[in-house]
Amino acid sequence: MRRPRATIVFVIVCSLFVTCGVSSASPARSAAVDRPAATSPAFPVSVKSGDGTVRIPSQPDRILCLSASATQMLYEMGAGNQVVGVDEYSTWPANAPRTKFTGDESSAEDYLYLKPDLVIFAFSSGTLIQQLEKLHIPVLLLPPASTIGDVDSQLAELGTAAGHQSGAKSVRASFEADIASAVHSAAGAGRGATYYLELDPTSYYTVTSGTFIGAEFSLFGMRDIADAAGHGSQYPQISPEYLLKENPDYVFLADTICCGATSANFARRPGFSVLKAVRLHQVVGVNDSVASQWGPHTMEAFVSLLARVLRQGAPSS
Amino acid sequence: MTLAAAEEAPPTLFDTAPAAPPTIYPTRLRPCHVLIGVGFLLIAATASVLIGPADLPAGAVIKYLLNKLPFVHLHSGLSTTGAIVVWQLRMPRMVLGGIVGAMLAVAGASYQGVFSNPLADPYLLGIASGAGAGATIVIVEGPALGHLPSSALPPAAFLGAVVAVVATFALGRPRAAERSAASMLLAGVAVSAFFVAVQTFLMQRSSPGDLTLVYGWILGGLSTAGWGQVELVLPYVAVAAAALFACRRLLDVLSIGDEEATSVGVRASRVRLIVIVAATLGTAAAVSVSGLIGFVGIIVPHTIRLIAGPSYRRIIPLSLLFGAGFLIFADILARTVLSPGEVPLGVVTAFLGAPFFLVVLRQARTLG
Amino acid sequence: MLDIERVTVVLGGATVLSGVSARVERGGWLGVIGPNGAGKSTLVRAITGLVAYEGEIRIAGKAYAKSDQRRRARSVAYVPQRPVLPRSMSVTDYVLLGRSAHHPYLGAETARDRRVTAAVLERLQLGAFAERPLGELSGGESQRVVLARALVQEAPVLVMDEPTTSLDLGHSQLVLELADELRREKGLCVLCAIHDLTLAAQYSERLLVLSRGRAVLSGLPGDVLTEANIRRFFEAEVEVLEGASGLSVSPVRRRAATSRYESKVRA
Repeated sequence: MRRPRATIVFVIVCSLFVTCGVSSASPARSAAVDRPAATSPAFPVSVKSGDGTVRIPSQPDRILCLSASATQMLYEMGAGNQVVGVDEYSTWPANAPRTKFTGDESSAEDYLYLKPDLVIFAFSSGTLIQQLEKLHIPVLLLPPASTIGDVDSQLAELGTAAGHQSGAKSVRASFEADIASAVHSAAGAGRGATYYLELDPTSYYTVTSGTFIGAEFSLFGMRDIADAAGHGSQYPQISPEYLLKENPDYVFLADTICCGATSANFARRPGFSVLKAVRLHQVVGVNDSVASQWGPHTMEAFVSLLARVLRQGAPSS
Repeated sequence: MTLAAAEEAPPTLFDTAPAAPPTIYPTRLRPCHVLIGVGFLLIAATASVLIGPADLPAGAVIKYLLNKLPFVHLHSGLSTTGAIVVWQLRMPRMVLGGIVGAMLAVAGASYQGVFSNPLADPYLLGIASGAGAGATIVIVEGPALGHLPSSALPPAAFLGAVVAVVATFALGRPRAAERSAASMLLAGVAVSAFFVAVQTFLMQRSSPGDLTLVYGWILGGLSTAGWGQVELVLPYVAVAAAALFACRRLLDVLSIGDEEATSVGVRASRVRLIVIVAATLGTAAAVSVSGLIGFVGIIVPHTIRLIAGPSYRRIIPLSLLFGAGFLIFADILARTVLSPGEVPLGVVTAFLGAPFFLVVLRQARTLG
Repeated sequence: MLDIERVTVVLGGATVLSGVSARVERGGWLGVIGPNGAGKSTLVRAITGLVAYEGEIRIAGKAYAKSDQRRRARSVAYVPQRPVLPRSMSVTDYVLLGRSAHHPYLGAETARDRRVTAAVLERLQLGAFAERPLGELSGGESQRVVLARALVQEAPVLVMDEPTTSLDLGHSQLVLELADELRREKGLCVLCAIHDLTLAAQYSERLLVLSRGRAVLSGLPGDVLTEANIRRFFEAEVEVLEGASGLSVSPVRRRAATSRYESKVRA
C-alpha cells in the first residue's frame, strides 16, 4: 500500500510548487511592469540603515542591490529601471541584471565599474561598507527581518531611498492584504499545530519563531518546536532525538535545493517513520529561498502555501 | 698586573700590539642581503598598489603616490574616485600587510631564539586561541552584550590574546631553570586547548551568518577602509619590533643555553622575559586586526636561516623585510585568484609557505 | 684572590654543600677532588653565580650579588663540563660570546673585543678554524674553543668543571697544559674540579677534597693523596707513586682468593 501513499504525497508537493509558480505570475505582483519613476519629492533624504542612518543626496538611478529580498522590494515598487546590478542570489525577477557578486567581495573596488550611486546590503561583511563610505557612495544596510513588521518598515525605507514612496505604499498595502486573506482562508486550521523547519539535513539547523519565516508560521498560530532549543540563538541546532520527542505536526524542508532533501528521504531517516508528520503526510519540501529571503514576493508565496497545506489537512491513505 | 689595576684599568690579559693577530670576521648583517630584502619589499608594495579590480592606469597611480612626497609636485591625472581607491583602499591594505607580515616574521624568529626550538612560532603561548576566543565572543555574543560595534573586535581579540598568554605564564612558570622552556610550551598547549574549546562552543551556538563571520576572521584577512587599522596597530608593532631588533645579539648568546649565557654576563631568564613580552604584544596587536595568519612566523625566519645562516643579527632584521614583502605578495594572491571573492590570507600563506620551504630545504641539503 | 667562606648550598631540599671554605691566591691552582656527588660541580657553579648559596664568595675582595652577572662575568670565567656548542655557529662568533660582559649590553663587539679574540685564537692555535662551524670540530678542538671563550672574558679567576671528562688522555693533557701556561703567564687564579687524581696531582698546586658536601681535607698534593685518605674518602684501593713529574695515583687490584672462574679455567 506504499505506492499510492507516495503518489499522493508527490502530487501534493508538485501541486504546491505549481501553485507557488502560478501565484508568482499573477498580475498583481508582476515585476515586468515599468512604472514611471515617481517624481522625487524631497531629496536629500536620511534613511535608517542598520544601526544608523544614511544620507542619500539625490534620487539614485544606478542602484546595486546585493540583497535578494531588497531586489524583490525594489522591483515590486516599480524602481526596477533604477537598478544596474543585483547579487548572484537575486533570482526574482528573472530579468534583473544579475552579477557574480555575493555581498562579501574582497574590496569595494569590484563594484566601481557599475558606477553605483546606492548600494544595498543585507549583511555587513568586512570593511566593504566603510570602503563605500570613503568613496562617497551611500550604503543602505537592510538586515534580515525578524517580524512581518520589519518587512513593512524595510519597504518604507527603501521606498524613501529610491524615491518611490507611493509605489512602496501600494506594495505594502497589497502585501498586508494578501497576507491577511491567506491567513483568513486557513480558517484557524493551524492554531496550536507544531512545526519544524529544517535548514540542513545532517546537522539539523532550524529557525525559531523570532525569524521572519518563524513570524509567518506564527500568523497562523503555529508553534515552533525549536523555540525551547534556542538558547538565545535564532538559528539553533537540534538533535534527531529532540525532533522525535517533540513530534511536530508539520515538517517543512527548506533544504531541498542545497542538499536534495525530499519528504521521501526524510521519512527514510532512521526512526523517523514513527513521526506524526510522516504518518500524516505532512512533510512538505519547499524552495530554500523561503528561509533566506524576506522579500514580499517570497513571503506572500510562502504564506499562501502554508494556508493551502493547513486547509487540506492530512490526506487519507 | 696588580689587583687594583685589574679593577680600574680595562683588563689587558691578552691585548697585543694592534698589528699582530690576523683579522677575524664575526657574523654581520650583509648589505647585499639587506638590498635584496628592500628590493623584494618595494616590488611587493608597488605591485600591491597597482593591482586591483578598479582599472587604474599604472603611471597615474605612481605619479599620484610620488606627489604625496614632500617637495614633489606631479600632476597624476587620477580621478577623484581613483585617488580614493589608491589612498584609502589599496595603500592602507598594503601597509597593514607589511606591518603584520614583518611583526609575525620577527616574532617567530624571536620565539625560535628564546625557546631554541625551530618550530616555535608566535602562536605557541596561546595568542592564536586567545585572540580567536575574544573575537568569537564579540561576534557571537555581541548583540546579546548590547550592540557592540565592529570596532570592538580588535580590542577584544587583543585582550583575549593577552589573557591567554598571561595564563600560560602563570601555569608554566619554571621551577627549575633547565625546564623553563619545556614547561612554558606545555602550558601553552593546555591554555590553547581551553580557549579553542571556548571558541568552538560559542561557534556551535551561533547562527550561520555569525559562523561565516567568525571563520572569515579566523582564517585571516587584511580588508581595510582608510588608515584606522594601521594607526591602531602601528604603535604597538613599532615598539615591539624595535625591542626585538635591539635584543637580536642577545638571542645569539641564548643559543649556548641559560647557564653558559649567565656565565658570560647575560641573564638568560630576563632576556627571555623581555623578548617574549615584546613578541607577544606585537603579535597580539597584529592578530587583532588581521585575524590568524599562520606560517609566516615559521617559514620566513627559517628560509632566512637557510640562506643567511643562524645568527640572529641577520635573521631579525631580514625577517622584518622579507616578512613584510611575503605577506604583501600573499595578499595580492588572496585577492586576485578568486576575484571578486577573496581567499582567506591564512589559507594562502599555508599554500605558499609549505612547498616553498621544502624546496629551500632540499637545496640547502644538497649544498652541504 | 678567590675567597670561599663557609658556603652552603641547598638544592631541592638536599644539602649539597655544607660550610665549605677555601682560598686561592693569584697565580694559584686549586684542584677540587672527591667522589661522585661530593659537590664539586656545585661548588664551581656557586662561584660562577649559577646557584644560590649562603656564605660568602669574594673575588679580589669583592662579593657579587646574584643579579650582578655582568660584573661577575668580568671576574670569573667558567668552563662547563658539558658545553652547549651550536652546530652551525662559527668558532669566531662562539668565542666572541665571551666578550658579552665587555661591550655594551645591547651593543655590538668593539675593535678591542675583536683584537682580544683574535689573540686568544692565535694563542690556542685555533687561527685556522676561525670560520669553521662548531659542528665540524673534533672533541679536542671543541674543548680548546670552549677554553678560548672563557679566556676572552679576561677574568682573573678561571673555574673549570671537569674539563677532561670527554677527552682522551692526549687532549686532556693539552687542555690542562694550556691552562697552566696561561696561569703562569698571566697570573690567573684557577679552580679546577677534576676526577682524575693523577692529573689533579700533576697540575694542582693545592688540593681540596670534598666528600658528601663537606670539605674534609686540603693541602699539598703530597699530603692529601695518601693511600689511607683515598681509601677513606674515595673507597678505592690505590698505590701512590712518586714519578718524575709528580705524584701518580694508580688503581690497585688486590687479588682475592682464587675465583671460581679461574679454578674452572685451570682445571
